[in-house]
Amino acid sequence: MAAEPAGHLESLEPLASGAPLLRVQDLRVRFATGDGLVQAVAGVDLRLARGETLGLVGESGSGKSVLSLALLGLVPQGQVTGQIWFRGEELLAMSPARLRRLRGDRIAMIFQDPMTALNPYLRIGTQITEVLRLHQGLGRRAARERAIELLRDAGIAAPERRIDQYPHQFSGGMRQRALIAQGLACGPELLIADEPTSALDVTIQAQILDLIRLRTRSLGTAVILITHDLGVVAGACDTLAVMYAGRIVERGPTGPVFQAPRHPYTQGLIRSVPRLDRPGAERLVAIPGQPPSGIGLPPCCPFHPRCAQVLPICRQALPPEVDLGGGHGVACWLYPEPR
Amino acid sequence: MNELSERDPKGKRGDRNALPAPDPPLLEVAGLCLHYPQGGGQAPVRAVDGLELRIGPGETLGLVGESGCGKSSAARAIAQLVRPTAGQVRFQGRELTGLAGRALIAARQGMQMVFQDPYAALDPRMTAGELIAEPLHIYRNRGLLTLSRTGLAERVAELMEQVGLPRALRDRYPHQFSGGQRQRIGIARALAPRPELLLCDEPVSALDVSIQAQILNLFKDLQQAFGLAYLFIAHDLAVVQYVASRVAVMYLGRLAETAAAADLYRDPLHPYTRALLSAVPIPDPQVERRRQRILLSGEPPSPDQLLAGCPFHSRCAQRLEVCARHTPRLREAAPGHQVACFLYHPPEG
Repeated sequence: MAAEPAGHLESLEPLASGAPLLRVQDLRVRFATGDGLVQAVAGVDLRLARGETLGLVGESGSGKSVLSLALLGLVPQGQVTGQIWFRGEELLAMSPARLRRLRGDRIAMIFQDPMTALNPYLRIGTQITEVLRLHQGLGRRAARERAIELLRDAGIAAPERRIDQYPHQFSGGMRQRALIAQGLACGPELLIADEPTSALDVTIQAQILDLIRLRTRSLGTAVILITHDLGVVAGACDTLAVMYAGRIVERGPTGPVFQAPRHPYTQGLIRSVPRLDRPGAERLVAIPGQPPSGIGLPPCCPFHPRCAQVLPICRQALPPEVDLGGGHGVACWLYPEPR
Repeated sequence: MNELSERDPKGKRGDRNALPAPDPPLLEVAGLCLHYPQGGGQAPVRAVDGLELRIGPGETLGLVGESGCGKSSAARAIAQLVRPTAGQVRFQGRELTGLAGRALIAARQGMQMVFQDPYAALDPRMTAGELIAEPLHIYRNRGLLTLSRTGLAERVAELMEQVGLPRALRDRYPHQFSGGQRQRIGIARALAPRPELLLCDEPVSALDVSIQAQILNLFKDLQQAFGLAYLFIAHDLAVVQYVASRVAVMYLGRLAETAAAADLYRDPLHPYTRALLSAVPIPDPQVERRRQRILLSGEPPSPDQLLAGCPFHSRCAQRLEVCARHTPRLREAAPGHQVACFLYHPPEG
């Protein structure tokens, strides 16, 4: 990405206690494709508290990555509607210059594939000092010293030497560490991590998740962790939101949702994963059918063709989200709205 | 099928019933090495370095390990898709390594592969029906299979049914199928020559969770229906536990440990296996909170920079002095449970 001068961000007011760091209302993202209009995100509401780690779960095509890119204003080719408030400021109404100042400083993102997220022509150090110089106005030497510190905090041994190497000289796990160092360089209030460990081996995944947890906790950074792996959510997230066909179908604190999932899709997902601590399972309970493509979604529950508990109304109308108490919400006609 | 249908007579060696691998094995791999030469006078990359495996009829051997450990190279060397640098691959009683041309195709008819990415493995210009018929044509054209035109069409329809694809989809192209359906086409292709063994290389790791379960169940159903044996290569240890009767753990081209699945998951011996199992996340927050992780330091060394000694010693928290000097051999630590680690058997006896 071309580095235009972002300029310094004037010191932001401390967030009022209780106010959400991020609030999203009726966010929709559509793409025009050769096959028709694709609704990648079809009306998402979201609240994220300061320091909260939210797991955003869903299968490919569920809209979780597009949602996170929309939060950063990074879907120029799509039609984005709705509201996104970050610290009370409307992101979608913001000037591009203002948005650039926030991105990389207050909101940072790390991606699944650290090789494509890093510029192969630039030294690792340059890619971190760039952020520090742009957003914090550090001089060359101060930025370098800070970058070495950041690499060390990200668990890279001999950072004084590593800082002058190129991405191809780093292993996959090291690249993800460098990307985390870069993302957290300005101590962001929100980190969006899109499948940050899916390209990594399990032993490295454990290291990287541990690192993200430690670093964001010490900085008080809120995290949106996008993953398809329910195990990662169970171990790393305070809350989770399950996406299906561009919508959040269930959300809530991690413990209660895993203990008593309400949406048939969430139930199916949890049952369909083989578990290491449950040997001798005779048969997995698979969810029949295929996830929808997002083209021409009917105005009814998108899960109904795959649902074993389908009701007549599921084929007619979109279920509203119902509050089950304790922050646990579900969008399913099995749970009628209390009068 | 003619010469292929002959099998070794079942040797009865009842005294070996403590071993989980039944005799005679369907596949026996010994001392398998696959070294990729590098330019510039550099040492070759030892992707597979002395691998020993046995798979009995109808058995599933799970081969696990992280990226770069050589598990895919091992499958390719077993199938002779790349020629191994050294070692033996005995399948249905016949040695494959010296064979070529029609003799190899004939000897390999009973061993077929299922690949990770069904999109890359399927020719985008062929319909599902043509893709599934292709292996039948290959064997028929070489006189290894007799099938009439109608017989071929019937066989394609039968295969589609066996893998759960509606016959009506036979004229569609790969891009018109979802990932799970494409993998079903890949499996139908592999089943076409009526194999006894499928080499499955990460067959579900490109699939979504809900679809993964469908395909895993399909593998189980096919095994029951046809008595298939699987070499099931995967990095996901929970998936392997679900499908495998025995498991072999690979690290940098060698086996670190092998045992019956139940034993390996209950009582892992090798420090690497232990770390690997402890790193797998479990989709249950209560379980996750109680778990103790063994965090490995560092990453596996590159297979072209193998140091002396145990390949795992640079990351091992329990390493002994000897581990940096000698390479441990795979040896029995408990009945049917083999481990290559000096913690269980000191060097020289």
